[in-house]
Amino acid sequence: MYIGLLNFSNLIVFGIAGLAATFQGGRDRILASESARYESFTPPPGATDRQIADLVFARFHFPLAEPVGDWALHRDAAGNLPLEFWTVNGIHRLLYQPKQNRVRIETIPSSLPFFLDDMHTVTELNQKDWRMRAWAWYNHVAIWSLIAMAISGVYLWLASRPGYRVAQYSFAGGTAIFILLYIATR
Amino acid sequence: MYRLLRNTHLFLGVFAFLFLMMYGVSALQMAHNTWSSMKPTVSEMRVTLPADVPDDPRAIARELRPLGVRGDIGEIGATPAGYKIEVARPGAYYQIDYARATHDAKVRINTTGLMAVLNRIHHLRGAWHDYAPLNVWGAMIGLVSAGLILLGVTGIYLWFTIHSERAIGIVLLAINLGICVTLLGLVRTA
Repeated sequence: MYIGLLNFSNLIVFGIAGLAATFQGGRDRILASESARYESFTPPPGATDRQIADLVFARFHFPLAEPVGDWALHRDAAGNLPLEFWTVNGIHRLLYQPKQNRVRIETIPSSLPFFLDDMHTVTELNQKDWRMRAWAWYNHVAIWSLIAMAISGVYLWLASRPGYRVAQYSFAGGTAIFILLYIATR
Repeated sequence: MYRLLRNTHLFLGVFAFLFLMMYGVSALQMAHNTWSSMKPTVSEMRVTLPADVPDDPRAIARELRPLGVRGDIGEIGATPAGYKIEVARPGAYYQIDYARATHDAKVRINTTGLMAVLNRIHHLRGAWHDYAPLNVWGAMIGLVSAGLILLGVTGIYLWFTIHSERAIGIVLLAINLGICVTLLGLVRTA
């Protein structure tokens, strides 16, 4: 009970994340983008794509965003450099256009259910932003708590009312469905 | 009312036990990916399909289902000789290289262990898959997610009926709500 009270909000976040994943996916996942804007941007002559990406990151430093990885640095057919900065609040999609010496900036915000969906995935403890780091620790506690609650819940049932038929059928039904599905898809 | 909610809490909890364990254990695996090996076992098989199989990648993939190549049909690519087709389910990933002229299919099979399967199940979403069991998983995940919220709400009610536990419970709940709402607010408004 105490673990449950200490993790009530997390359970709700996990539940909403699961429902968001169930009822919306793929193309519907993100709200429409805000209108794009342009900012002038001229990197030093001879700058590599890595350096350009770092300069763009340093200039705009979108909150909670991390630098673009090397693997994501590729010019498009027109010679422009697309840069995507993902955060739990949405995506900042940039396009460095060297011929015009400018950057096109498009922000695509996440809806609240998908913000919570993304938040529930934050478990890496070495987050750069302190708020995300705190949330990752909080999520860790919630994961261990979920396991503890599931096990202690079954224990409490077996210790208090093991002969309760409806609970037995419920347990057997859930277990059977899980095992059958596991076998069918493993 | 108390009896109804107590039983609802019990039925939901014991029904969802393995699903919740799956979520918890796979979340730990994702948070600590060095704790378990996710390395797949790779094998290969060659099959000659009947000559009357239509020249359609989906039909070719379905023809291979009785041989164990079960799952969602993913990326399909045309090659000079035929098609490259990907098929995936939580426990296996197949790359099919089909030659139109000979009707030969070379299938590269990646199978994974328990932790990798749990990881993939954790990521399953929705009921729009072309492999039916994955739709059942999707539906169950929706039900368990709704159940989790109901478990939380009924749990709060059940706690509140125990007068001797109210004071400590309010403190714990306040700590939880304080941390959670503050962090969510700070991140959302960042």
